Amino acid sequence: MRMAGALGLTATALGLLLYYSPGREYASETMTGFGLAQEGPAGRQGLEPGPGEFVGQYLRNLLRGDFGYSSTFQTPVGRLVAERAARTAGQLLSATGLLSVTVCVFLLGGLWRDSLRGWIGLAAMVLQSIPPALFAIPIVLASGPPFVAIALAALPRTLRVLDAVVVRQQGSAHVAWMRAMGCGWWAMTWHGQIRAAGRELGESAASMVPLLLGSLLAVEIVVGYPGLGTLAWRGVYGRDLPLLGAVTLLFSGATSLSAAVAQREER
Amino acid sequence: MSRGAGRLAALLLLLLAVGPLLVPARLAEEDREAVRSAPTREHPLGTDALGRDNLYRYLRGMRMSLSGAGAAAVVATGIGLVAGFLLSRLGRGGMAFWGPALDTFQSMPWYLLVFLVRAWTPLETGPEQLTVILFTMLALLGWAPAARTVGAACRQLRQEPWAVFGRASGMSGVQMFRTHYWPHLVPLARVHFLMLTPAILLAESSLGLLGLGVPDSAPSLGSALTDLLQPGARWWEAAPLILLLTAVLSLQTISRRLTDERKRP
Repeated sequence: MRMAGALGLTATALGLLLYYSPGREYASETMTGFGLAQEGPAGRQGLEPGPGEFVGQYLRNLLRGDFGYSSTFQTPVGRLVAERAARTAGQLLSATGLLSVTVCVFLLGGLWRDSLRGWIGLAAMVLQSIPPALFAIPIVLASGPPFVAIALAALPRTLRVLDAVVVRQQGSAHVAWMRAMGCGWWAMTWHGQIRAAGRELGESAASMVPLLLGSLLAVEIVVGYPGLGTLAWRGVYGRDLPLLGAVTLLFSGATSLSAAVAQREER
Repeated sequence: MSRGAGRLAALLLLLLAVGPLLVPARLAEEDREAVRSAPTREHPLGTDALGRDNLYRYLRGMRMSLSGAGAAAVVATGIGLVAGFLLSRLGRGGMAFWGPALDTFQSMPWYLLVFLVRAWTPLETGPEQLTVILFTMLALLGWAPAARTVGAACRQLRQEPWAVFGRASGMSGVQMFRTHYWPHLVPLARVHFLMLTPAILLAESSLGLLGLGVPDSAPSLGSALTDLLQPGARWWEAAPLILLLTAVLSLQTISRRLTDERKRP
């Protein structure tokens, strides 16, 4: 329900933005006066559509899968986004995988000991102060895949969130009890902290999605990877609002979904 | 967090803010004889492709970004304070609508919203106007967390005995806000301001790196950072990154210091 509300709100705002922008005929794939010439009441009277009618038609078109026509690429936006979304999703999944492996190495590889925690926290704080786009520079120089830069950009915050979750578990009664019972480090870490914090970790993972998407956009643009980020960037320079609108809607859907998952875990 | 660290951070911030005043005025001029030169006595951090002194550019960009981010953070915190206070006065029904609306707003992809506005802005818009539009956008995107925290704090304050007494003695909402809530909200607003400023600074730098921030003719930290993306970038061109790190870490240190102070009984 909340996700539908978020998408509806975003789509309505986009419709209004398109109405007040030049080249609004591109808001429909067919570009025939935005489908209003024959059908709508304004069209029947030979008038320009009002904002309400325009937005209504735009929303109906979106529901039909018509995201408009890209003036930059001279292609229907829906087709363009579908092509690029698969590549972007691949990068996002790879980055998530790499991030998960790194977190497991940190948690289970003994790197989360008290002697190292301070240093990890400090490094995470410094790395978090670097714009995500800069993480792409070493990747460009080494001709590496963009997902490594995306994972690198998201790693500092992941580590700080993990630190907060794991430390909270360390102080809990069941971990104190396990310590008193003489459980080993592995058992305490796995059973006492990670498994016990499963829900909290799930919530944190879901709340990381907007960060990953933001990093993805910046990294794709710097690396020049042909995904949704580069598409949106070219859309800005081409003043291609239907294209930008479609990418915004897609990202808005993803972030709303992640927020809904995080809230469900929290409950 | 020690008091010394907080003071050092504040001093660093002050130095960054007044930096351009400390370098000689001659560095503001273009030196066509030294285009993209290495560090020399005249140009301690070299020059760019137009013969502009890098040290002067970076320091001016830093001051511009810091002041822009600070102003945007003040606006965002102000909106957050007002919105939070209004939210706290809503009943259960109002919160059932505005709570999710705030969640929705916070989950918007801000990068793309800035892209959209940038694409929508007319081509003839000047660099100064673009700068104002950019920081205004960032301010309008950053108020929601402050509103949420202030709303929760106000709801808690309303339950306090002195607040109940104030209402019972006929004080209006404005009077209650000014005399009772405001002194409690000031430290909260200060922490929010100090947390928002580095976030906006980072956002401006990120957008600048993508070529969508403040235009190069009005130097900012974001546009200075693009030197690092040029082919054959040299090590001294990493100076804006060091300035950015110093500013962000200093602001975070001060905000952590203030948060610690608030938590102390």
